[in-house]
Amino acid sequence: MSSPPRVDFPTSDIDDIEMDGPPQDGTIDQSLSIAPPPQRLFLPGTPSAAGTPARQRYANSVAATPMSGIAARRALGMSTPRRAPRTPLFAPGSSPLAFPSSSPVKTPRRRVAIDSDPAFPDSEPLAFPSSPAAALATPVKNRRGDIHSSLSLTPTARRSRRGDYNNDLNDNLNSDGTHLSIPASSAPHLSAPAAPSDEPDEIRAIWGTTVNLAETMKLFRDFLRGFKPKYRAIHDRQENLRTRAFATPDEGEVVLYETYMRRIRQTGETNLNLDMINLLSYPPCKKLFAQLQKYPQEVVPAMDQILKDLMLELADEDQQAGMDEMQGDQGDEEIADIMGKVYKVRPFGLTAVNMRELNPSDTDKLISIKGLVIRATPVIPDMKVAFFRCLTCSHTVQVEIDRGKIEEPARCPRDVCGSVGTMSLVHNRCEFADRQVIRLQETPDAVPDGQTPHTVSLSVYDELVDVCKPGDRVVVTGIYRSVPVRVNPRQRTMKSLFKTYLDVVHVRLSTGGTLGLDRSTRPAGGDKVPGIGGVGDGADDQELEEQIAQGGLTRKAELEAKLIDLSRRHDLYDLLARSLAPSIWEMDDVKKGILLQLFGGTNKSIARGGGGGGPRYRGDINVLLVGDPGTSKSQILQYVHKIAPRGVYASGKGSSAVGLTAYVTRDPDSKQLVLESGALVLSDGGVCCIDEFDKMSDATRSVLHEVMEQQTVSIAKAGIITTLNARTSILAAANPVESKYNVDLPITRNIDLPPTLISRFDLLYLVLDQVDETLDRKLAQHLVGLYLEDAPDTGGYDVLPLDELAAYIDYARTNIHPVLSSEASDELVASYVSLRSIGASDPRSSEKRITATTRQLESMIRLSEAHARMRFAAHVELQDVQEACRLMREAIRTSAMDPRTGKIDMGLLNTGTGVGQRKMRDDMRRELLTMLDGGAGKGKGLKWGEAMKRLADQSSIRVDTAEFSEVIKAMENEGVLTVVGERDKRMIRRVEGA
Amino acid sequence: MVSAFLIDAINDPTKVVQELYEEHTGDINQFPAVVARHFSDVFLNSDDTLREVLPLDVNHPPESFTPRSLVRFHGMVQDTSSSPEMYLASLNENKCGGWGISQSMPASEWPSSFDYCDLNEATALWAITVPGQTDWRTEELTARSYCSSSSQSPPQPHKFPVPNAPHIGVQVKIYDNEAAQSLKATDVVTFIGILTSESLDSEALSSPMVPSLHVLCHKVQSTGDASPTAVSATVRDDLIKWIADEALAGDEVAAQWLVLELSAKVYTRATPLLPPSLTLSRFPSPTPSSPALPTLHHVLSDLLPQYLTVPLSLDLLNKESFSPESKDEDLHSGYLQVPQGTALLLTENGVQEGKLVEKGIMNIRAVQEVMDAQTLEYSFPFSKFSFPTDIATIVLCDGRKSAFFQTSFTIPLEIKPSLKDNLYKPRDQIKTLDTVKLAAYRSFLAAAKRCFGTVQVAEENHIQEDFVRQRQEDSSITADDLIHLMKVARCGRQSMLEREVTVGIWETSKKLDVSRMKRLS
Repeated sequence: MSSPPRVDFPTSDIDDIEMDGPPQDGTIDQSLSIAPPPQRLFLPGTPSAAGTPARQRYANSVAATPMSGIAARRALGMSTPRRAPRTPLFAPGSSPLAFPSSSPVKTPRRRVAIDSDPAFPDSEPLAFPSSPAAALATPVKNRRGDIHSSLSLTPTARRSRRGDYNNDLNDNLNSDGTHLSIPASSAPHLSAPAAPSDEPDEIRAIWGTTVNLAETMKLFRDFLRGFKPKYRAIHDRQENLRTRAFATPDEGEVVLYETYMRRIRQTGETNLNLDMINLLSYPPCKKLFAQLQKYPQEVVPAMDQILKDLMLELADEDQQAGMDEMQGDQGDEEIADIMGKVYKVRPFGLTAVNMRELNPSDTDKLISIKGLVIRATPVIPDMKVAFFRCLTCSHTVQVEIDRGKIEEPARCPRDVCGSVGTMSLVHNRCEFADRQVIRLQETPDAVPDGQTPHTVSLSVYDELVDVCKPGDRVVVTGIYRSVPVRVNPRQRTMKSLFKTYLDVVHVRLSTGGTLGLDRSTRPAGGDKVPGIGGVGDGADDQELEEQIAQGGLTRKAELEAKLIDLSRRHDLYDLLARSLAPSIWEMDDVKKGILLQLFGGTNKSIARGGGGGGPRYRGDINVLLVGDPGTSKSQILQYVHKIAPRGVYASGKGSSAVGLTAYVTRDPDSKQLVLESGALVLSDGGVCCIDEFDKMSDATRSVLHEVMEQQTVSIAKAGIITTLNARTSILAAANPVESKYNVDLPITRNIDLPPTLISRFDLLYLVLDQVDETLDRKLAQHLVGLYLEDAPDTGGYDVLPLDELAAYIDYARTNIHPVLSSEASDELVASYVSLRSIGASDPRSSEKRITATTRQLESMIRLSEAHARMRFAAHVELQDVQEACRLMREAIRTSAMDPRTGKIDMGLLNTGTGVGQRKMRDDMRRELLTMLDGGAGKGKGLKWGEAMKRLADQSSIRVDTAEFSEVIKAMENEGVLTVVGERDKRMIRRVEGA
Repeated sequence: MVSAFLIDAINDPTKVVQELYEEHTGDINQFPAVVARHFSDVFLNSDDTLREVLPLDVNHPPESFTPRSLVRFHGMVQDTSSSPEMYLASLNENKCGGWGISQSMPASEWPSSFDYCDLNEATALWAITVPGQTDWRTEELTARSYCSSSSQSPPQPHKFPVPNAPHIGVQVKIYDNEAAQSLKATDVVTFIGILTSESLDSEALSSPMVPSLHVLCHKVQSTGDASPTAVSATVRDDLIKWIADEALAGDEVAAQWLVLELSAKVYTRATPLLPPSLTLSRFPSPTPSSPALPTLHHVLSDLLPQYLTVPLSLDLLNKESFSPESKDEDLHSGYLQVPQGTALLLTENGVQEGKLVEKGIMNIRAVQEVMDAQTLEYSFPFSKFSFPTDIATIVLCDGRKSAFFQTSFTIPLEIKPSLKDNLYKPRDQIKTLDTVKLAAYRSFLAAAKRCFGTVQVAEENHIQEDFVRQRQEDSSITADDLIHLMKVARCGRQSMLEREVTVGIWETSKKLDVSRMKRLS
């Protein structure tokens, strides 16, 4: 590129050319004379930094230039890096070049270069006449932090975009030029890799192998140009995977990666995520998969190279085809832009292995592991190219990083000088890249029983820095490295020990674990990882994550088949319910309710609502268990906690508000305030089990109001005000007030919980302990078998093991999203109306009891959805609704029954007072007023105790003290009467005139 | 014949490894297994050969050995989270590189280039002296005279459960990876290996030097080690009497409960058949003149192989940790990180009025979880791992019931005034038993722990009917009461070394529980 100035003529900046004249000649002379080195660089022995010109230089030179202005910068991007001409400054004597300056004058010329020939970077190193080619490395090869390639890639000659101007050039330049002589060529077959035969490039094999790099590059080029989603579909079918049906046959015929490349151009991205399974499924490229896995160090840069070549090629084609935004100057600009960019291929899609399985034989291979990020350093400037200067002769040398270390030159490479130990590092001339070291820890599910988790270091670079944060579960693809450890960083001696780490090329945030989180709770865009290019044939990322989470394709398919088999069992519902806490006896309905809670309804949001997608309707089902002590409520909770997605267990007694919500702490490393999630936020998308719900402090419980209906937690602490999502189902257990449930009192009086909170539970179960001989005998039998024998049985029924149940639920939650069928909605309406009319339809009573509210309707919908989900059904059908209604009725019957009337009254749950109670209060009030107005208490009023007594005498039922004071309080508020005095001496007085 | 090998191995283990290496022709990855097999044959087949190797323990600290000498270390695996270590398995001139050989050689001899194929992995873990291992057990294992050399403060003290206790902590490197993979945290293992001193973290700049054991072979101690011994019928009664007289002020009922507690262990976790926990309430606080530790402490440490006393106080609860926690990727230990089968005595008598901070609450919760579920949570960043434990917990408290813990059984102590002083007395005032008797007691308790059993159908029916009848009489009796009784019966069966719960045992257990209830009310 530095060489083509001649070509600049057509675009007229004559002055510049004149000025550039001498160096230009020099350059060319040099280039001719030293022409071979670039090729030789592929020989194994060549130092990595060997003069490889690369595309990236453009970006760098842009940075180095003092100029501003888009055009100028872009122009520079095309041309010799700034540094190149400068280098000789350190070796003034030896440079034959008379650099005019580094001034803007050059710019115009360079801009012209855009139009001419951007290729021939090969000749570039030649601009450093003073130093041997090896040391002269142009600073700008495609330097990826993650890949310290020992292979020096000479970029393939880029075919000219407009052959017309090239004649001159070809005459002057070395071999690469020959291909460019064909005028007006834009056909891909001209590209260098396709026709390297007459170049000495054939030795481009990966050292120590028979892999021919040119062939590899050609293969990849074919792949990008030829891969279509249909190949993936065929491949998946062969592997017995679920494949996505194409909407139209055309969809399978799209050249996927060309689409991606266009998108890359349009969005200005520079990363292409490459699903390695796609390589495998594209028949001509099968071996590329293995090559990439074995020699990523060499193959990935080659792929980068091809990607850039193709980006340019495609841009050129599009420009010629006159695509939108690619016409004329705009297209030129676009192309220049592409020239200046560094493109990176980020492969992924290998089966993730456990980090324990990594062993020395994986060194320098591409591998994929998953884990939990526990620590991430701040961004570290990582030296990519070191700049050394000889203290004696001021000769300069640049050395690139190789496998994590920089080889310091022991002696001055200049023959004339050759002094030993005079090379010193010039810091501000070195190049740095962003780097971050991450510690990745094994996830709990991957750790073998009884062992503590291992950790491994990851190095992430450039765009991947700050993609994952501590606490994230990730699947990373990277190159496994083992490097010797220095005994002392200041000494050169090494230990015979090696440290291992991963140079990461691709990061994927995932969930993993036994059960994934509810994906519908995540933002639509998902967590952003840089790069274009989806997974597989463009199917959901989700699919891949599932594959990863379940460790491999075949196992997944197997499991899936098994689960679907299971879903066809006619006794599925009972089997699943039975498998939930098999050690707990009976309580079938409770188990069924909890089972449906685990499946959950579907989350719905109204798309067209105001701001951000409108309101969201929760699909989470909340369940409350109330009951006598010793009825194994806690056991149920513990059990659910074990299998529930993101299950969190908290005891109401021990947990403060912070434990359940979130609290602010100071990070020990950064000394910054950080928000640490509590149980509710942790179980976002999962189930939060709260034991001893009634013992919880009011402050904590009030938080739950928000969580259960809005599904958020608001925090205002230490200057941090925020709202966190807590889309969690709640399973709570509470004990009755007097430790034993009093069947004579309504439930609200039995549980010390505000009615507003109770009403937020979809299902409320009373678990009562009743004495019944046959039941007791059965219970005893069950328990004896369980507790006295050393090999307990499960009661003669088959039950699903815990992990299978968890897998079943997980599968249903991620894959099944049932919608209401019209039949089901009719049934729902009918059930709701009938439930609601229970109260109204009683002809004998004039009063209105509330038997169902819209809350119950919503609950019913959620339960029916959950039931359908359990059946793996796509639609909610009649049977689902019927079962949901049955469960609801059962739950309501036990919880909302007014013990005085024996009738169901939702008012009890919603407001805390049932109709019967309200009626009784009215009666009491009337009687009280009669009493006060009547002779006895006239004027002086009545004593509290006496009023109670007289009421009790009149009444057939017991007068409750609490009820009485409620009535008095209400009347006091109305101003009908006043109470004077304290405690026993209280007097009730009629307010005169009221 | 073997002895020649033995002497060679003891004198210069490095040379033996090198010789083995030269003989070995197969895959280099198989070599560690060959070494392990060779040394296992030499040392692990009998106790006698094992005892030939010098022990590494508190009395024989690492400093007392010359570098690269062969030692054996009976320890508990504390932390398996350190990353495996890569080493150059093959050096120039056909020299073996593992077992610390390459680390100890001068840098000048280091090969300038290496092949990645020669790299191999060694599992690294941290092992400590078995916490709570009682003196008699240590002596039994060492079978060596004390050569008391004062130990320096051990490295990485935070990795030992009991703060400030003398112990040995060693970085263990196991080259035979497959065998090493089965090692779990709190496993008790006998390692035989070459002792060196190395920096703890080869990657860190300023990492402390720690003793490091390059393992040649190792053996995991299984819980049911001892061979069953014939136990005479009177041992149980004698033992109860002895404990009652010596440590519990003559209260035989309490002593009986104690024996029940000590014979329990974890059976299955699927349906929780876990050892119960026991509170001895009304246990008076020590008087200023008496020793702080109850006599029970000495008695138990004479009886049990693994036993730990934690004298609870607010200070201790608030400051020390009970459950292990990973800080900066280093697993700090806690009181509860003890091997399976350990008995824990918690004394509440030292607790004064004051504030319990969050850490204290978490500690109490951790103990409660061990009592209820026999699991212990290890905290790691962003995740918690639950580890199974098998710890019998005994709480001593002054009041009616324990202030902090809910235990399965609570039994108030009834003190015979004449024996009141027995509760707290120094160790030397305990009536010494002859070794035969002591050995009988010890093997009795060990045998009780290993006693499996079932219920006969007839007994099953008896129990059911019993329960139904009781429910009829008193509706306040719940399933929990039945479960409770069955737990008692279970322990009772074990402490009587019976295979079945007979009607006799059931009735005895009921009687025992009734007498306990009577005391409580």
